[in-house]
Amino acid sequence: MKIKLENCNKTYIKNGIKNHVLKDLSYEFEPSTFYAIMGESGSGKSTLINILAGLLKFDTGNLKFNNKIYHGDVEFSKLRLRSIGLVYQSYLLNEQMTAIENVMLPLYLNNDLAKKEKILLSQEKLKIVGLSNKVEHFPKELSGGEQQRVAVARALINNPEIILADEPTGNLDIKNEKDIFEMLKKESIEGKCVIVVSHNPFIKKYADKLLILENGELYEK
Amino acid sequence: MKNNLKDYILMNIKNNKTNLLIVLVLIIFQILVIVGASYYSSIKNFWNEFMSNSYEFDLVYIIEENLNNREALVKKLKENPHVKDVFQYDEFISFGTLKEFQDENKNGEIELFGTISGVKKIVLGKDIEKNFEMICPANFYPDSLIYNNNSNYNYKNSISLRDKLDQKLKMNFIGTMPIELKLVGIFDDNYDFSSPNVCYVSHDTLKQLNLKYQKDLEVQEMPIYILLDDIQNADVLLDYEEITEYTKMKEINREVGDKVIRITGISTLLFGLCIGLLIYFLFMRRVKNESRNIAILSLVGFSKKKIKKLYYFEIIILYVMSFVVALIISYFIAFHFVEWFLWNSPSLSLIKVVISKFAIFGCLIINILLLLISSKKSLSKIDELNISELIYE
Repeated sequence: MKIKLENCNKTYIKNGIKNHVLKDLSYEFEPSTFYAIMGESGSGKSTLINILAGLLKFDTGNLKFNNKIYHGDVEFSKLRLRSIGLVYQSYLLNEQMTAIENVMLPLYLNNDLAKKEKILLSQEKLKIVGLSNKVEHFPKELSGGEQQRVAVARALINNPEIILADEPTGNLDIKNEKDIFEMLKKESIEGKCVIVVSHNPFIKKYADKLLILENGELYEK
Repeated sequence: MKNNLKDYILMNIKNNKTNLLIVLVLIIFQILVIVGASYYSSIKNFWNEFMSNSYEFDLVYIIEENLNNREALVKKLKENPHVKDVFQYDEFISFGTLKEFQDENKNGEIELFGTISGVKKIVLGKDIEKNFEMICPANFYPDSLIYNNNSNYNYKNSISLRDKLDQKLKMNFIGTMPIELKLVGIFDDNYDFSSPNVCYVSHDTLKQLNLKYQKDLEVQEMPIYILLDDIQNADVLLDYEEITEYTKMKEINREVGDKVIRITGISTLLFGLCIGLLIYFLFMRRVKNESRNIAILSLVGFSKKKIKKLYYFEIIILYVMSFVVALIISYFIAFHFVEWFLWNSPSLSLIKVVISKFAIFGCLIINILLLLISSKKSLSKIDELNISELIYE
């Protein structure tokens, strides 16, 4: 799935001061590519990820997925459900649910699979991220790296065409960092469009394209 | 609702500990609503039937301070085609004791009321036909202490007069030799009673007893009671120069009854409103506390509309669960509440508490409506949540 940003603008106003974080930004993200977006703090990297995920509205411009424009919460929710997997620095797991329940969360909206199939699929994804022995563990019983693996498994459960990650290794040690980047890289090789926002210079090793967001503009390096 | 979402909702209900609190509070409030609604409808039915069946309430009474010629007025009133009968106070009520029921603990005091024949529902024996014949209620409390709201008194302390039927009972007036009254009938006291230890004789019998034994009764200052063919015709009384004002017994009693009915009705409504408010605040709190989980749902593809739907279903499931439990407990409480509290008061013990289908259905519909309105209001906060900010909190 292609993502096309056309002349996107986003401005925050705080205490009367305008911060134009995205200036007429245009870019086309291709499938089977690992994009690393880097930039200084406050440069608008997270804003860009959230705009691409449909969680944040831009002021002006166009956002197209396979040349189709999406509008509103319901349309973007469907898109996230079917085609976008999201990974964030803070894992964003439901504390009251076990690892497998967290992974299975998007499948509650999937009516094509039987309950048993959903459980099997979730177990399989947890196995891929190396957590087959911790399916019934609650997030508080898992390490940071393990929690992020659960988040990755959840992002992959619906086999999305796009994976968006915002500082996915921000809270992790080097080993887990490497594992997560490798998992994401594997997904891009398998045909997904992976867009990762990170401060971590280590990401350059995995990126097919390195993008810098600076002064509201995105350019390839 | 799709099976998948049902699974999610059930899991969420199970995982969320505040749900237990919500269910508990809902149960308590609903018990109050169901019991309240049942009492409201039971008291209302009882009172309406009581009023329409008790002829004593169809009386009109007049008190005129400067009534110069009572006899002449009574005579004139009796000639009016709308006036069925006229009694003076001494033909209406008298107090005495029944020796039969006196012992160390009971004073055997009873009230005698004057009545006309054919208005009581006789369940055993016959109606009053002659003087010095008496009819009594099926449940009889031979002790005036029942009025003192003594907690030892309940319906179990009543006695049956069935085995005294056709016997002459000795009745004493203070400082006099006993006179004998024959118990000829037992009447149904469910909807036809004035006080629990009241027996009825004819007005003429009462007058004779009062004349003989209560000579100091100041009848001249007491009201005159008038039985009309229809209480709506009471205005004809104003045609008499001597009568400037009259009072319908029904109106006085209705005031009391209406007050009780209003209080139970308003209490029921208030309890219902409390449920609505409670759900509103509890779910407002939940939306606030669970905003992170809402953000997670949003991330994985749940729209805000769908998230709200999940909460609605959760509310309904919690409500139905608590409703079933509340209904069972209410049945128990409604009937035993009478035994524990109201049966201490014999007059209220006659209220037949029925958990009416109407009360339950009404309670269910009103509460669900209140729930939907209040939850809609509290869940509308979900629309205001900024997911992209919550992710980073």
